[in-house]
Amino acid sequence: MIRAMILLATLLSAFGQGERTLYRLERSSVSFKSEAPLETITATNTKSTGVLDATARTFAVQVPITEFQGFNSPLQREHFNENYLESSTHPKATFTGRIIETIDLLAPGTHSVRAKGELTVKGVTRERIVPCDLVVGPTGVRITTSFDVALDEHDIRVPRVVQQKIAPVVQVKVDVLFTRKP
Amino acid sequence: MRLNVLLFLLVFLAHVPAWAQFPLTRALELRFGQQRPEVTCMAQDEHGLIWAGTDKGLFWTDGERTERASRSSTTQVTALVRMEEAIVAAWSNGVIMRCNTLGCDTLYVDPSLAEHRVNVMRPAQDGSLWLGTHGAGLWRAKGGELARFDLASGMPDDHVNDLVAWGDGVVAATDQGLVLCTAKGVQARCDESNGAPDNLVLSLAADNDGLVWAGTDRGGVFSWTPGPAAPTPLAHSSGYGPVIQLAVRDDLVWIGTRDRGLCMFDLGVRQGHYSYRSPMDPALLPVKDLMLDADGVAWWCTGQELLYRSDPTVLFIPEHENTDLRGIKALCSDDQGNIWFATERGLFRHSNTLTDTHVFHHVRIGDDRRAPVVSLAADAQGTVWAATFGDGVYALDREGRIRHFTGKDGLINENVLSVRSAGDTLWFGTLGGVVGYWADRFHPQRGPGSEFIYDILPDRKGGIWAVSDGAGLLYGNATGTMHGAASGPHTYFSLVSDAKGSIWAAGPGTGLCRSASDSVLCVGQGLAPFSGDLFALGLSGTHLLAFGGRGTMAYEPATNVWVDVTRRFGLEGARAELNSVCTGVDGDLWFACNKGLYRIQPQERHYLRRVPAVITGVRVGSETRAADQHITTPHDRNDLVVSFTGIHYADPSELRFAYQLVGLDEHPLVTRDREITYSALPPGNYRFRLIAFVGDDVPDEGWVQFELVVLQPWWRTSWAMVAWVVLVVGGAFVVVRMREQRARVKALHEQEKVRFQLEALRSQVDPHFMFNSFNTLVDLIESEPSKAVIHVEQLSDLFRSLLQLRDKELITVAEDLRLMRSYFELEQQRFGSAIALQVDVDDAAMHRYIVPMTLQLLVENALKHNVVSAEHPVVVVVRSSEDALEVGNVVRPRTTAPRSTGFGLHSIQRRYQALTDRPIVIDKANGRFTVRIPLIDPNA
Repeated sequence: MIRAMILLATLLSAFGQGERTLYRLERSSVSFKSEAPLETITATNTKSTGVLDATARTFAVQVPITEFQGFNSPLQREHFNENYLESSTHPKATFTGRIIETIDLLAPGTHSVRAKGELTVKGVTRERIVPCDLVVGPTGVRITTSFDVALDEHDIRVPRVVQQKIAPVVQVKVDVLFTRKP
Repeated sequence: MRLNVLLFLLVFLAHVPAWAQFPLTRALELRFGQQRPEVTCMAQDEHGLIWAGTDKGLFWTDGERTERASRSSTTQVTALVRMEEAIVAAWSNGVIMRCNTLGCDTLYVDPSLAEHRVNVMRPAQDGSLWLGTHGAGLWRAKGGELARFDLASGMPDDHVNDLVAWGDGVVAATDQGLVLCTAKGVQARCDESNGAPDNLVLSLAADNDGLVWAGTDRGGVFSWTPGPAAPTPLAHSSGYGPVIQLAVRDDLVWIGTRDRGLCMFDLGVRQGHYSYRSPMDPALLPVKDLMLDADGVAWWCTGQELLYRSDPTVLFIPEHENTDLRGIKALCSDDQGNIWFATERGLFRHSNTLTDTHVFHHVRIGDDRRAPVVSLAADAQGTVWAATFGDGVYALDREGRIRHFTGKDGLINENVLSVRSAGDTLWFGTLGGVVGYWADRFHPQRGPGSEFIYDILPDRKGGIWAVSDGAGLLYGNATGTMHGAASGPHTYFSLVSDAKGSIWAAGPGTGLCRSASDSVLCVGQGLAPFSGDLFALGLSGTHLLAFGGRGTMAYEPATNVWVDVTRRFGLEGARAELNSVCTGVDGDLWFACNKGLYRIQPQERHYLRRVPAVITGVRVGSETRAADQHITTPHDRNDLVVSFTGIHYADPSELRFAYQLVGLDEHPLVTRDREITYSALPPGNYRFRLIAFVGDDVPDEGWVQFELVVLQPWWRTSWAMVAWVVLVVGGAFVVVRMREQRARVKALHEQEKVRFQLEALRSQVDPHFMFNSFNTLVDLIESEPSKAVIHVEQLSDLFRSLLQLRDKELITVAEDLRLMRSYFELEQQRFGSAIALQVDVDDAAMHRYIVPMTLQLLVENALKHNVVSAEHPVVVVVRSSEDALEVGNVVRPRTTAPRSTGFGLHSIQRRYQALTDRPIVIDKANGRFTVRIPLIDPNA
């Protein structure tokens, strides 16, 4: 988590130094979907920040947990923040890593790649390899992906009484647009 | 005879066949107090102990007891490997440590290894240790030096996911393919450009032939011989999903996947794979680490507190393609390696040399559920005979033709319980007795008593053995009659032939019984398989196996040893139909029970009664010591605590230990504890020995031991003893010597005295003195006769005094003065006024003591050595001073001095030396000769 922050900070501060080609996250949509027998919960977050280093093919994205909108009721959102994600102690989820495939992120094109990195949710870091669809345009890079997050892997404990309402594995959908800033 | 329903069902498998079959897997729980550490890496040390690296530090376990190996409980262990006698652990804080059961010490520390965790470590053949990091490349550690290989030095990538030792270096799996790296740098690479299915290689393994196996993220598994050769993909393996762990031994490839649990791929028979779904965890967690131990048993973990142990020699097949194998009624093997079995649904063939597509046969025969198939046998032509209970016998030949035999064909009873083949002959055990089938005819064999035959067994001599309900063991040689054994139990269920061809029978409560010259000998009557339901007997090598509802035990006739193998074969709680065991052509044992079909490939280790014992720690006087061969401790640190364990993961709770401290314990003691304390050991030589075993009997051999010497306290050591003796003898010697000295001095003194007295006497009777005295006497008689009388009286007085005093040691000054005066007056008779005596002795001095005749001698000396004349009279002065008596005179030496014996003065000096330490002082100053004699106080 701390390492991810440092990486993000160094990447951000590297702006304007000109040696690397850095993209900054302009638009983002990070949503999750929990499909349990009794209830389906969805929420979306558009307040993520992040950078993409096109030369080194590394990236860092952080998602403020409290900014998830949606849910089936305001109380549910409160429970999400206070009981399950404990967003006051772990305000951000991060995903930092790199793109495995050696593609040219400066030449326009469409690629199917894998992002290998460390996903930190609720302070617990897990290494993930996530398949992504990547479209390089003239001014930016759009990345879409979806992957599963097992609550158990991130120490998110669901009480037995609500196990019929919260799925043990949550589907996460990501649609982000990185643009090159002068 | 009409062919019954004939139906073959060929079951085609998908590319990745989903077999529900798996090796015997047990989970050992790593629990330390209330902690439930998440195990992410494992290693096995030289003793066989399993080490687990977790998020809460490093632990080792014997399966029953878990110990923390390091103090840190918050730092995560990211990689573990065995290196020679130690376990090397990489910690998330960048520290590389070397550990054993006694503790850890630091090998390397590097901040880069803290920032980029160590994913994997492997020792290479040259003694170096290679480290694969997450983002900091490949490191080589040797002799305290760390060398780094990264992008700058030709590595394709800085993320190293796995390593295997290869030649002088290692093969590393990176995010950009495989790379062979030695101390000199990168030697060869393998990636998508030369045929690898995927660049993202997550796992590696090396087999015995030097082939490197690689598991990829989405390209499955491939093998590669490091060098220019292209890699070879493993067929269909991409269906496993991301392969995050790999292990290879002989023909078995173990595949640890992220999504599908642990799978086995058998290269020998292209049998597809087995996957294992942990019964405790339905979610199929990713396999975080996977390793094979020396027995080929796989160990793996999934990031929980559990360590899984999968033994590939015991395989379960509970179901297959919707066929439930938990209700098998009978089974047999044929000479093609097939296993035939019957369930309520019919007859099935399990091909043990399956191809991916041609796995399973289903033949529907004997549709009547009231007459189930209860026994199967395959004859030499490959025909399978199925015996039913109520519907006679079916025979299925290789061409798929089925014949049905009933009472009409000569089968004496249609309730058949057992069928066996021997060459061209088939034998049937029925409710109506034993019947043989050869030359297309049934041949009944009449026997005594009950005709209820449970099991039959042809022997090598063409005879037939049968066991019955009530009539015991029967034997016949195909002549139409059978004979019962003269004695022994009446009811047996099963028969088996041992490796030498001897026939053994067993029934409820009988133990294993063997017919020997008209009597029956039984062993093991009270043991578990015979005390409950007995299912079957089987043969495996030299061991006979008895399968029962209360347990399964192996018996070796040659050694007469029983071993409980229930848990080693995973058979606890198993229930089976009668005689549902068969041996395959390759020696595998097949057993059908309510858990499914078992394939058991027994190894020698399954029958071991003694297991390796490990001394994990020795504390002597609260100090931890290595359990080496000799331990020496001082007498005041004489408490001994020995921690130990045994390696028996198949059933660690059954372990027992026998230990003995030779020198204290007279006999070995048996315990289930894993720690023994001896307090306050007396000094001496001890030997601690330990053996670990299962069962009841302590094995004779295989002790592990160490010597312990408790030293004597220093005052009881041998040199201290010698010092004591020397001291005592020396002291006695000194005392004796002093006594001797004193005695000698005394004797000398006595001698001196005698000599002195002699001398004195002699001087008194000196002829010259006598001559002078007598001359004086003559003069006096002539001139003054009255004086002559006085002179004679004085002479006699002197001699009387001399006689009186010569024996005394000391006399008073007064007495000695009187003696001296007697002498002086005699001399004065001769010299008249030419000599004079001045005595000035005070009263106190008069009562003190001197040596007898001292004064007389001194006066005599004065008269002897000086000129005596009237003009210069010799005046002898006797005077008392403080502590002495002075005798002095003016020196006027005679020219013709008389010959001196040198005795007088000298003898006085010596006698005084013996009596007092004050010296006799001789003063010759100012022309005077003065002798100062110390006064003696005899009581002082």
